[in-house]
Amino acid sequence: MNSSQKEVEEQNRTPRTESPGTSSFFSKMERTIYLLNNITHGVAMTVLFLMMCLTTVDVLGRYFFSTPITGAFEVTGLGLAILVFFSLGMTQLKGDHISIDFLTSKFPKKVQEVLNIFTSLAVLIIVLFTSWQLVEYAKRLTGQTSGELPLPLSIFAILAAVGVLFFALTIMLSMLNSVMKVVQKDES
Amino acid sequence: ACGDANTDDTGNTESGSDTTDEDQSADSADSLEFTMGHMNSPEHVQDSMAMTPFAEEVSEKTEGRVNFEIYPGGALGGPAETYDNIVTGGMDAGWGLQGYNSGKWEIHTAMHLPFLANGSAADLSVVAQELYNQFPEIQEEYDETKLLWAHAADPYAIITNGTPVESFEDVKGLKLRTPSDEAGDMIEAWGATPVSLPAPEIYDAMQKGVIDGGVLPVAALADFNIFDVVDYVTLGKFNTSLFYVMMNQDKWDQIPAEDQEIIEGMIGKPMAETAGEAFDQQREDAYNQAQEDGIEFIELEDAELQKFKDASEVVTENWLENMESQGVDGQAILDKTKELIEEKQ
Amino acid sequence: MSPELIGMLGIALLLVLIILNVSVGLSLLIVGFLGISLINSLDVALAQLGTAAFETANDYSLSVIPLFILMGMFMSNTGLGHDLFNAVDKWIGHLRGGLAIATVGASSIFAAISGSTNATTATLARIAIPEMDKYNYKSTLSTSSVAAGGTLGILIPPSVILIIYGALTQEPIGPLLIAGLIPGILLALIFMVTINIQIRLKPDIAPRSQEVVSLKEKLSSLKSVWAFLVIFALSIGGIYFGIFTPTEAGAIGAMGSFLVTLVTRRLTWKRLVDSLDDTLRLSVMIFLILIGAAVFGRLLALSRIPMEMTAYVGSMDVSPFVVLGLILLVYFILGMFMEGIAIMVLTLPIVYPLIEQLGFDGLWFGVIIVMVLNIGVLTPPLGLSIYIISGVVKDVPIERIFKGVVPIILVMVAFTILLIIFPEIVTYLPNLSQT
Ligand code: NA
Ligand code: NA
Repeated sequence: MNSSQKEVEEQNRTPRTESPGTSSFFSKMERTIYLLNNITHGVAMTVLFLMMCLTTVDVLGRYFFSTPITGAFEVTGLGLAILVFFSLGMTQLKGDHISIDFLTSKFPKKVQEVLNIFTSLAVLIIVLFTSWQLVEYAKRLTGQTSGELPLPLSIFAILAAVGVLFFALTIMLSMLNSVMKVVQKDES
Repeated sequence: ACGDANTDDTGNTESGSDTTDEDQSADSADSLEFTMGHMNSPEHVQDSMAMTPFAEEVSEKTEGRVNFEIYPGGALGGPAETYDNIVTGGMDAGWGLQGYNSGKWEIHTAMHLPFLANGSAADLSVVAQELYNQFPEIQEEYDETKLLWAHAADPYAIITNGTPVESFEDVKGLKLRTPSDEAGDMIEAWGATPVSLPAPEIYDAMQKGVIDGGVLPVAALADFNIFDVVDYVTLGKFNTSLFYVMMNQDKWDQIPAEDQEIIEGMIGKPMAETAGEAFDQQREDAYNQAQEDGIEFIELEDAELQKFKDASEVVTENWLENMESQGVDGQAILDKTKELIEEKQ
Repeated sequence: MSPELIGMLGIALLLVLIILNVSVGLSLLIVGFLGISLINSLDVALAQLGTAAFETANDYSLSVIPLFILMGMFMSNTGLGHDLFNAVDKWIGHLRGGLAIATVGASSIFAAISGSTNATTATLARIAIPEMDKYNYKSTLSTSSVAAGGTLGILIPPSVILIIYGALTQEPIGPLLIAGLIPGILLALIFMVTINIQIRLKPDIAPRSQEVVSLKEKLSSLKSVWAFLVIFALSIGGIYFGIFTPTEAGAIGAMGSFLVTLVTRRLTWKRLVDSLDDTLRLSVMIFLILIGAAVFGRLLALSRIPMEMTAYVGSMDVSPFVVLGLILLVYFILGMFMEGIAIMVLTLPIVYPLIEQLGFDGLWFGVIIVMVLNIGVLTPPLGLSIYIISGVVKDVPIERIFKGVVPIILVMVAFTILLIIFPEIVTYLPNLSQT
């Protein structure tokens, strides 16, 4: 959420040697993807903070006043779903999803980029499928509620689908970055 | 279940899931293999006394052409997703509770309403199935799948640790695990707090003090092996819960007509009754075990019980209102339910 | 293709994808998806993506993970963790590996009571490893001490996995939980001794504190850690005395750290935002793996490999101890690829009756199997504890962390063998309480 830090990161990621047209389109797209994921990540941070507060109030209410909050458990569960799906993209952008590169890091740079294009494509497909299927799941959940509170579950599944879609955009970005690096090296 | 590691390969993904386990027939291309999942332990009575005997009987009567392989313990999907997995084919068939999908079976869950559960699990199960058979609007609630049988549990009691519930006052402020929406409303109407929690998590939740107890059938003491964490059982026939065993519609349609007919002859009421009897048997065993373990059984005085009943009225009223808003004659269904349960006594 | 073959190919593909730098969670998801579409159908596999993803994340009991991590982040981002390790160093810094030993102790207690290996590993990794860095501990030692401590949580009561074992086998749960106590504490001590021996063999992995610390200094170092101790006691004590759930303990602990650091003016807006941000990224990394593991686990269930492997071993005509050894070997292998609870659910219906038939004690076996499955969280390719630590310490290559836990794994294997030779270590307490 630190904007100057973000800019530095963006600059580091943006390849510099394309024709001005592609570059500006690419950086616009990159900025949009960062923006979207920053928004969902910000929402997730808020949800996390509220989850902490809600649970604390619930415990205090139950322990000292015998008035726990109805539905605190299910709201916490649904809050967890929101923060997981809304922060997938930022976790990817900051390179925090765990992967093992001890073999690939020994490959020549160009081979690494080509490999990244292919693996990103496979990953992109599975993530897009997941987003689509969360929408399908949301449809199947229509009319179903969370239990104690009549929260419609399908809305949460739709939000999850949006989060996963933004995650997909970050993977696409990584793939395009590799494409541009490969193309760029070809030209040189 | 199987000692043979060399599984037959039908190589035919169209004919449904071919997770073959043992050679049932000489010509395996003709044999259908279906997965049947549930969230409980393999020792659960609905597995050992209903689903497994059903699977064996189907194999036998269809001469090995139709087979069900049971996957316990939520291996193919946990409590909340069982129904969805059956609809989409993640499991070909499965057992679960209507109560885990709030809002899905609003009409059939008339069975969940307070103080209707006046009978054995077998009685209540047959009534549950009968309601399905008689009311097209209930059948509609199951139109995404093939219902094999619906059943119910023995009347629910208030199970607690620490605090005995000997009067209506005692229940106030307790955190009680609820099996369904309707039971949740009932618990709330008593002035207690309902907590939705999958049954397999009850032990842990009671031990850690997350809940003070739950509204559960006596059989559940044994089903979930929670004798250790329970001190008191307040009997009162507060309500019951609905359960289903259903099958993915496409998978059902793959079964040849003559075999479908054989299976149709087994499912419905007879299996509902078997499933109910399994719970009754379990109730018996659980009751005896609980006595041995020193769990105290509390019978409420009539005046106290009446307070519970009065407080719970509102749940039935709300349900009737909800039915009316949907254009369903709830009163007719409720009256029929009462009548069917009366008949059994 | 038979389901078993599809399952085997799936495992092979999983290894390939992971080694090609595809994120672990998504590798599991891809392979699970492909395998299920082959065994079942494309439609079924597609639907699983949506359902499993949503239902894995929409789970109250897993919210313990972000809340405990948040507590750890508040402590470490505001310097509470630093003060704590400073105090520990003042008190026992002159001992070889004092900080690492203290870490094993702290994470054992934390894991034992929170019941979550994942939450503990993430929290303690964040607090302890940067501090050990400052005292020039080698990363193999600092990371492995956190990993080792985290595994003890499922042996020392309360243990969710032993409760599930009890539910699956109808073994009485009370005695089962008690049975884990002595082995758990013993193993914690053995881990500490192991660390000490490692340091004796290679003194440079954990430099000894040179300075002489006066008692006055020791006492004054405690001044700034009282807050940590209060929060720790509150959240852990709360679970222990049944006042709240682990998730609630996490929330209370996080709220406590938040308030303490707010009042003492350690918490700035930036540190608050950083703590939330760090918590989310670490939690989400864990959840992506959990989601992938859910789908992959379903593929392994459908492939019937776990059932076939255990059934095959059971059908062999050899001595009971050889069968037992092979079963544990199978569990060890399955543990590399699957989550412990899923393995038990799939195999216990076959293995448990067999174990009883062979004349072994069912209660004792519960502890043994938990020990063996526990090793799985430290082994590739699905070694969640290691991935979590790797997510916290970015500058240490993951293979170094895996290398660092090898001694820990060897100790766990040796300890399991010890429990087989002397089953009384497990059964002594439960027998005592039953008679
Ligand atoms: Na524990
Ligand atoms: Na592993």
